[in-house]
Amino acid sequence: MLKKILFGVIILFAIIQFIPNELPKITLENKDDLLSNNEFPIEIENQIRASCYDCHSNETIYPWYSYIAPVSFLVKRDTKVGRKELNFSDWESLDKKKKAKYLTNIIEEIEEGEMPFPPYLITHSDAKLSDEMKQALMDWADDYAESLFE
Amino acid sequence: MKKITFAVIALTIGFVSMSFINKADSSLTKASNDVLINSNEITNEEVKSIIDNKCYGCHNSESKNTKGKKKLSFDKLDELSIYKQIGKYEGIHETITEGEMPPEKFLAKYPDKALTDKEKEALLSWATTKGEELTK
Repeated sequence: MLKKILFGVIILFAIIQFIPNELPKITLENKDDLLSNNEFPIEIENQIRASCYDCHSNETIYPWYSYIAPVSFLVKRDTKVGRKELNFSDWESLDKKKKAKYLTNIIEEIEEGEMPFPPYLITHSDAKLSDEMKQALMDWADDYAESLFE
Repeated sequence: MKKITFAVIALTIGFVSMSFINKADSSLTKASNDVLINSNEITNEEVKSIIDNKCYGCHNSESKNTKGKKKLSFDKLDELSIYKQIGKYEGIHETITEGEMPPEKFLAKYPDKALTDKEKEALLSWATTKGEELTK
């Protein structure tokens, strides 16, 4: 019985690999990118890249397992949704009001621990934010937003 | 004597014309106030009553709905920094455009809390105006 179940699972696993599942495209040159158009402290820049850019930019780094079903389905969905919600690669094309909205939300979501998305952190330990880094990112977002309206 | 008569006549003319000016002035003020009330206040009253009826229950600082309260408290909106206020008005605009508020689950229970197209329009133009005022 157990053998049959195991066999079934393996067959199923093999079959789902053939389901077409194209991951969102990677683009490394983005003229409206947040980080390439602005000068921020290097530790802030690095942290934004490590914690946000896989889902919130066109510069996604896909680990090897993101090509294997069923993980690939999740990666596809999260990347798509993340880019749609906020794409730092398009940042400079946004008007000031939209930037204000995003920066306000960024502060709130970091504070509430909603972002980075907790399941993502299981496999991305460099994306985890220490309390100090949380504060540094919230301060950065606040200063940056203020500077847009000076 | 002539001088006194002249002064009296001058004063009378002065008073009469002043009273005319006053009258004209006050009627003008009244009229323009009415126009203001019609174009501005009523729209705001309308927005206020929409918010009171359909949003405020969750979106106030005393709300039991923690998520709603944190995301937006109408009674504390003015206390936020300018960019956050702008951000909130932008968020209100998007949320309504995309039909995300009031939440579907809430509407399943209280269908009468759904926003009519007219109410959506009123809220959208209000949020746009507020955002623009603050961005100046």
